[in-house]
Amino acid sequence: MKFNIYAFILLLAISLTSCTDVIDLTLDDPEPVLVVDGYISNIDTIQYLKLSSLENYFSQQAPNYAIYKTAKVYLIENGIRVDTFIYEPTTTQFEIRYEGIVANEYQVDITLPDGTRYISAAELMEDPVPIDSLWAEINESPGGPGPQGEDVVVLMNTMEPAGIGDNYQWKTYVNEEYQNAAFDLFFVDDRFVDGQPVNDFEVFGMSGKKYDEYKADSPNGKVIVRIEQIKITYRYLNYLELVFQQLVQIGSPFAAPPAEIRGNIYKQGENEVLALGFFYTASLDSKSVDIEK
Amino acid sequence: MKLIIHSFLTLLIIGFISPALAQEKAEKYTLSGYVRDATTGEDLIGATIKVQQLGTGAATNVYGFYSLTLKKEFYTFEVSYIGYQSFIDSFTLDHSKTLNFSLTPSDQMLEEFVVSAVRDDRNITDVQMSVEKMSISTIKDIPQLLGEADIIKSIQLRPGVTSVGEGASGFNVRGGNIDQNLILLDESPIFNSSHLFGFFSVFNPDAIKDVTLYKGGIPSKYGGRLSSVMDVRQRDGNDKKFSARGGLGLLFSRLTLEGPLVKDKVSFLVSGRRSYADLFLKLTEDFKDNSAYFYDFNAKVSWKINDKNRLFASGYFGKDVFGFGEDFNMKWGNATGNLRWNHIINDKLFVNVTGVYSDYSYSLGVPSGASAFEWSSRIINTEGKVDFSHFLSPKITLDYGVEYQNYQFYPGEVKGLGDNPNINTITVQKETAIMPSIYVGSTHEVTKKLKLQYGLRYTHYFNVGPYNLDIYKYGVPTVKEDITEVVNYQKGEVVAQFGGLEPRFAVNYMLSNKNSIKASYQRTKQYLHLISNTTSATPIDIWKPAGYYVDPATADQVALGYFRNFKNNVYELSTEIYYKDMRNLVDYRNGAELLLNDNIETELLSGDGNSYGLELMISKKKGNLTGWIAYTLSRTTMQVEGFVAGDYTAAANGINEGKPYATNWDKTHDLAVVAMYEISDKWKVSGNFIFMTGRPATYPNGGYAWDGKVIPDYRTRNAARIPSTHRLDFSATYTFDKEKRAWDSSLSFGLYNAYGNKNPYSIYFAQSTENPVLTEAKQLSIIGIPVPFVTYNFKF
Repeated sequence: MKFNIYAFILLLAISLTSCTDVIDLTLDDPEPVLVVDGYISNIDTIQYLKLSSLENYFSQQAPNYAIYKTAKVYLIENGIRVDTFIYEPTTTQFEIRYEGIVANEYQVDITLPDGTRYISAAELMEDPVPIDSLWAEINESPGGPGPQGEDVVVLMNTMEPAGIGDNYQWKTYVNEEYQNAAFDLFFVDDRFVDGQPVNDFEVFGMSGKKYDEYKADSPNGKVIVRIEQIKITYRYLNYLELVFQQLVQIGSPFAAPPAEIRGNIYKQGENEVLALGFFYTASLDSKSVDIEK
Repeated sequence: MKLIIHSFLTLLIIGFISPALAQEKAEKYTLSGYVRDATTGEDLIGATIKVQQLGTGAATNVYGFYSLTLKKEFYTFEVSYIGYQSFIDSFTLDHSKTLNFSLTPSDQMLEEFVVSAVRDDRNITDVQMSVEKMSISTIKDIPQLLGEADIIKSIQLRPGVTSVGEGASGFNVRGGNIDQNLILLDESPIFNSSHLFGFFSVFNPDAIKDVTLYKGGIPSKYGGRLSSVMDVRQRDGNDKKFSARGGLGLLFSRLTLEGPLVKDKVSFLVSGRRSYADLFLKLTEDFKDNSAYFYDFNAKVSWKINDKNRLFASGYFGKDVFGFGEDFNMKWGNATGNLRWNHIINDKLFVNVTGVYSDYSYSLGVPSGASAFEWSSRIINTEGKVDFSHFLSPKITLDYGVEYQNYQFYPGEVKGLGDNPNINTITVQKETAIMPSIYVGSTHEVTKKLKLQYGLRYTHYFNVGPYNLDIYKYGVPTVKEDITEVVNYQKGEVVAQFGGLEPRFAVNYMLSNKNSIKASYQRTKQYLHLISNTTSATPIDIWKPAGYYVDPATADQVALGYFRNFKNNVYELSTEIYYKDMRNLVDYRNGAELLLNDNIETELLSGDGNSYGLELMISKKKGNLTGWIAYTLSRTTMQVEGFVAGDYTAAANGINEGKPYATNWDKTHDLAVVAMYEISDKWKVSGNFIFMTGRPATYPNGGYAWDGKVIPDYRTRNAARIPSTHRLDFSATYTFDKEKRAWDSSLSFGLYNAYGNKNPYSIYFAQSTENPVLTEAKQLSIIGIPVPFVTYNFKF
């Protein structure tokens, strides 16, 4: 149940008309701006944080996560510095082993090599909502049941707790490969389902061809889909909405206008100067399904 | 306020009208009546009745009525209308009389009897400027997409009128957004003028009699929008004989039936169109359960009760329907109906009483399954008005009237379907707006060289309950979290109210009978805003009435023009410059969420804008070759300074840090060349070429990786421009031999976008689908290939 009407109109418009061509365009190099990509979850595990910088949009290079490797990065819990992220050269990420605690607030405190200090806004670790059941269905009909042509769909049941204001994101891993394309972004607020059992909820779909590719690449011949149901803050939901809008709702007559995506990382003492990216809390529950076709 | 209106009326009557009337105290009689088409009985709008001895005359109003009050003398009256044989009659006007004139279309006459029309110099002599008037026959000659004549696409070939891109919904007039155009069909407002997301307009040309677009100098009888009024009038139907016309096209077909219910007294007209792409879908295995079509239906009954009373009932109903089997469906459309009564109170005073109902609605949803739902939205407008036309003398016509409008806005409701729906019902609260208006205006020939048009309009606007108003911590809407209290307004209780005078003024000074200069000033106010944050408006956009947090918009426009005719009015040259200042325009915060939002005020920003430009047009009106060249040079910007409240810095910064920025529809150069050539009685060819500067665009300042995605970083809105647009279309029409067939018929064929130019609609930035590591700039073209068309039209 995605209430993404613009995405539907986009598909409709594209099917009705249009042709798209890649064009040559030159853009100026931007001033460097810090980019923060990371979160803290309620799972006792190694948590990651990536620091990089704004590049030319057409740089066509993998992001340089080592650019701020000497930065000092601290985790703040309820306003108190509780631990330090350590830069790991092999992964070019900052790492920390930590288990976020429900109802606590978390921030990240970053001091760049030049002494500039950034702090993220406090994010609340929400109470996780469990996935009650997860299963897959195979649709053998050619083209699949929907306009996107899924042949394999993953569905779940969950119970949405009463009280407006709960927000969710679902992340999907196929054979532990994170499905992180823009079209895979999937999030919703609870106002349509508040306090209701959410049954037969389609949370992921892929074509039969894609399934076959995963199966062929899998060392054990299995295709295992793991879903993370993440309860997120309203501020992070808004951020995801903007990211989705700017990456997916584009390329049609009904495209959303390009817009600056403001995150939650502020230069210390200055509300106006933001770094890019978002540091969020992820209160998650996870379930897997082994799909046999 | 009453004092202001009273003062104005006093000024109007004492200052201008009374002296003019005082000059005319000799014994006088009035000639009045209607001017109609002799073959169909249709009223002719804007036909002229010229008194040859005086060099003056009158023009028919939108109901074909005229009135001339003259001294007792012998006169020769020349009645003329473009495309019709002029009629000349001479007699001594020694008593007041009603005289209805019937003009015969030129194409119905044998060539030797066609009298060449009187000088068509109304562009020089009329006080009105900034008006685009196109005949339906011209509109039908212009090659359009799939060969379907389209009123709105045709009017975009005139100076000062453009759109954000090919196939976009609506049109922009002199720097105004698409919601700043009041579109009237037989006086009923149309909220969405597009079929198929904007590719075609809702107006069926077979059912339309007259199209007038006011870009400036808008008469005081019109109000409610900032930038323009498009007044579209439906045909009344043939009251002489039964007839039919229609056409078969590649996308849709048309059929219009009309005729007398009671000969010369009561006529009817019914007209319909339907697309049939969905019928072909059903023949395919993959798409047989899908639907994609639109239809519309016009109907009108006209009753000439007697010489003094006439009654019209007309309506429109149109729908667009799309569906993907059981996965999704969507439909939207307008419905309008109105009843009008024309009454001639006396030979100088004409009154029209109108009742209007207009309804725009859409719905979409998933019809079945666990997550089945329906989402719907609606806007209902009812209004009543009384318009008087008072023909005080041949030199002065006074128009005045009152209007009462009621709007009910239902911004959106989502409800789950089935016995145990998974989805909660969510309703965005309804809003109600009431707008009483009063206006007065006069067209005044001060001397033979100097003509004035002046008027004043006043609207008082009420946003009334029931309504629950959220109050925000900082006094301005920021985020939902800042709501501190909710104030409940009962039914009819005033939530917010606004009002304002809207003066209108135009002057024409004729330098000679071949050239004139004109100037105009107008203030307009707009109390309803279309809430749309996409490049082209979508059918699911909603309208938001002014209220506690949203102010009405105001615009002041001045225009100056020079008009000259050449070679006995075969060629017309018009040159206009304008400047428009707009205040309290709506724009949107970055990433605004506009649908199903009960606190939509938190997503809106208010700013000011201005537009200025030069419009040139030279047209050839007569001969085998007709057409025009239209060029516009213009600039339109907005400025949104934002506001400071708490630490909501995005809002505090406004847009582009409060600096002016080009609007999405700002196009520096806009050129249109339209030509129609009648080779013979059987063959006619036409073509048009357009060139437009690309519209403003926002390019990324840079890009960055986050969550495995490359995200563009946009900073400065509309600082770049997409490439220019140019396109050539042509068509040829073969008219079959009339003598050998029971009906008139023709075959039109042609090519839209003849040289297949891939005109950019937008440029967007995305990761490559083949290799997501790579980022690309992509150009979207709506029609990137030549599109051939063929249409068969018939009439009997």
